[in-house]
Amino acid sequence: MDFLQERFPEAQIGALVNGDIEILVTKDEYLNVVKACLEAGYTYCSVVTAIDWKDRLTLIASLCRINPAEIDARNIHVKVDLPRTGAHVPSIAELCPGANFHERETYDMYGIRFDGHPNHRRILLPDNWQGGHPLLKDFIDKRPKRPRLVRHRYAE
Amino acid sequence: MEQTKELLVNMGPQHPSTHGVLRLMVKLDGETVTWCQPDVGYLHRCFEKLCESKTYPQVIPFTDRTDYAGPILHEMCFVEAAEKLFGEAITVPERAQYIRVLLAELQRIGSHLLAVGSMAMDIGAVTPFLYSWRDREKTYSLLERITGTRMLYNYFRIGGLRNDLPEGIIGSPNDGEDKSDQTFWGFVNYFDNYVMPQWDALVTGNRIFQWRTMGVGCLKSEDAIAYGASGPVLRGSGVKWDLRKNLPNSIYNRFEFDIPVGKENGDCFDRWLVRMEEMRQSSRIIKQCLQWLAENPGEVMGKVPRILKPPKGEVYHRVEAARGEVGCYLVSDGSPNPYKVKWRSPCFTHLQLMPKLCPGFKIADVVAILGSIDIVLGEVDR
Amino acid sequence: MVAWWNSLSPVAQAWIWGFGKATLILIWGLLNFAVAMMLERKLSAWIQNRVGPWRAGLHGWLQPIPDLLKLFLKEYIEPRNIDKPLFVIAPFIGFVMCLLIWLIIPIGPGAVAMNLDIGIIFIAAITGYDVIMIFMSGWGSNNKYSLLGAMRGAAQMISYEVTLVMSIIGVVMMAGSLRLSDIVDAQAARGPLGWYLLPQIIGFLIYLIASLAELNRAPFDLSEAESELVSGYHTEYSGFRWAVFALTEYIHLVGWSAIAATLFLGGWTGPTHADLAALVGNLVNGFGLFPNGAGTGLIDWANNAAVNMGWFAKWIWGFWWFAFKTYLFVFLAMWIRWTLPRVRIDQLMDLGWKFLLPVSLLNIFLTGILKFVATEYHGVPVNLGFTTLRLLGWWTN
Repeated sequence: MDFLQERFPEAQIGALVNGDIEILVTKDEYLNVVKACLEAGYTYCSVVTAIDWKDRLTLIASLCRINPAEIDARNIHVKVDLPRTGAHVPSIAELCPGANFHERETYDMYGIRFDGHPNHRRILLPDNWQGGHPLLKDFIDKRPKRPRLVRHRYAE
Repeated sequence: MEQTKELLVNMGPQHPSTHGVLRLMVKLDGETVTWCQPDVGYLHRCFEKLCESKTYPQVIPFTDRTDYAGPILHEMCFVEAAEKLFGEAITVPERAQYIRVLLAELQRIGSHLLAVGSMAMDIGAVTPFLYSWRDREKTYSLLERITGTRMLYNYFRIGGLRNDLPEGIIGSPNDGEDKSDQTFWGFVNYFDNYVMPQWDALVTGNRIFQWRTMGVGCLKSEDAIAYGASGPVLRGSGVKWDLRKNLPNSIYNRFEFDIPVGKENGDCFDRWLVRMEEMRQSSRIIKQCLQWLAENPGEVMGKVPRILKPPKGEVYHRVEAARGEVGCYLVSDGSPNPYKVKWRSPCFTHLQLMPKLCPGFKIADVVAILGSIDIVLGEVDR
Repeated sequence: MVAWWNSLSPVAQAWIWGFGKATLILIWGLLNFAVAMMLERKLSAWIQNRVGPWRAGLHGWLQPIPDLLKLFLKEYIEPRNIDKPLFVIAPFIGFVMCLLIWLIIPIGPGAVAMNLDIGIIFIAAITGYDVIMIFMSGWGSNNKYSLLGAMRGAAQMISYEVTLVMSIIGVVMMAGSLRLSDIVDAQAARGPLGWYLLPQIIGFLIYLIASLAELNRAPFDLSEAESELVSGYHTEYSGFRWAVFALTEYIHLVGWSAIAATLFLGGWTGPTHADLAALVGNLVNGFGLFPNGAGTGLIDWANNAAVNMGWFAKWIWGFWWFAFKTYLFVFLAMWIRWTLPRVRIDQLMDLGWKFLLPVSLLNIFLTGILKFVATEYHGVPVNLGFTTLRLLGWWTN
């Protein structure tokens, strides 16, 4: 918390409803902020995900400090605003291996590219799936409609 | 000219022991694994996208279907996340909190029984798997009396529970094995006095089982933290971190229980022992719940508006589920539908450990390691 | 009938009697398969808190009939690019070999199909072919899993064959002959409780472990480890070919159990009705303390019956005890299978070569010394069994 305010004074620091810290940074500062958190002991990557506000995407990386003596641990959510198409950020998978699959999933679902990821492929959907990135709000499901079996025909 | 090549073996989506549709690509040099990569996505059911078109109460049955081995804990995560969004506007009655913890711990026992039974079966002892089903059936009977269904409950509600416990389900502390599928005290006594000693004698103390699991799949504690491990995998590597103590949700801070940890370089046997001991501790928590619940009747549903529209905000709520830390990143924009539900699943994160833990061991150990990490594909793929 | 038989030339008689014996062995094998398979399913169900087959008839005990019918009628699915000759022939090699084992096992006094004088070594030779069967089926299946299972199976069986034969040598030394009927007679000659179980206790335990490994049964069923390799070397077999594999496995199981019963538990010897009557008579007599009419009368009757027992009565008793002891071992093998987990291949090899083989050689050494002492110094009664146990106790203290 304090170390974040000292080192990155331009970033906006807020709080989530349950008390977790969120810090909104620019794309260029993202890697530095993550490195600062890792050095401060927040080495546990809880999740990497994104939110699709209709005009932009927000990448969220949640880091946590595992300290068995600490009760009421709070996460740090590092947030980056990104454009909806062509977004790419540096990957933190080398620094924090726990983010590996989560970054692949974020790529799969939102289309954000992670530069430097060792295995940059879709994870939940098939590798060669052409349908786009499903969790975007303007996603249209182009899969062909399968005929459904109709058990009862009501009088038309 | 002679050459030896590595054999690429596909422990494919259909396989008797990969706990679901998981594909593990393994390169073998003789019997030794040199590379291992999991391939997931065979059970992807678009959970997160679906939630965005449902209302908050309609999401709860979907959360059950992520982890179908211990669904109540996942329901708990979502319901508590939504309640956090409401903040002070909704208070959950105390009796509802105690019943939530009671069922959560019962599900933890059931889920761990499945995990240890499957691991024992993968290692070759088929009988313990059937014993774990025998005891899971008893939890099913209890849950059926309370919630109406045996497996996927849809019982928690935002603000409390669907209904109170039926009459007589708590029982009295002297209930024995004959009541183990009718009353909670019967189940707890049966579990402590019969089931746990049977597991200790039959599997944990079995030399062959110890040969197969000791020294296999060793995970150092710094690696465990770096790879995002949580739950028994993290505790099996010596890190005493349990979200029920370190970030208590609900009323876990009122209960007395211990956190078992393994040694610093935890192997499969450590994770096994952690699960065994966790079951005993869950049984302890259940007894404390039962004592409170027997004396304190009350409401189980708080005052909630008819159409649930949480105020705008984001919350990331984490709960200690049976397999690890399950997290729900819930974003609300004031409408009756959630704007975004991100389900952070522990097993998805644990699968990242497979490429790290497997190389160097034999193919028989791959199955043991997978069993000790304990994955449920519903949770991995959502 | 007898006249017709006597009119045949000896060659013809040998041929017809040979065919007859072979048919009897085939029928015996199939019957044992049915019983052993049902026993396995019902026993495993009992251990696992369920009922097993229930509906087929007589609470499921007639299940083999619909099972075999179904397997006869199933389609043969053959993968592409298999090595056809190997694939097709492999199951039948094992089947023939498991029936050959039954040639030399005595099931009654003087009742053995072929009293070969190489006896037990014949069986050791036969087991070599099972390795070939596993390897042929694994290779011929054109499947990585089958190949892995086959290689593991071949390595395992070859290792444990040596140990198996070594554990039997102790018994052969004590009986002085390789013929199984001679071994049984030697045990009978040692009197009641004269079975080789106690003197050769080390050999017995090693035989138990090694025979489970030879049979590819848990805890040594790595070559068909269901949770790792689907079905190992018989993954690609379907229908009747798979049934032949199952036949092979169960007939082998009963066969090796029969050998264990013959070598260590005295085969077909056992108390007859005469012995039982003598025992009751002695009890009534108080073992000579207070002789009375009833007790002495019973003992006399028993002695009379023992001397005048017809061939048929001896046969029936002999066969009953043989079957009982065999199925005791079958039960033990099944019990072990459903209780213990599986060992890994390198642990299996360590166990076989580094522990069981040296111990079996030690057993041979010990038997030799004790036999030498017993025969040289016949004034000094040396009971092999108790000496072994005492030595064991001293060593493991």
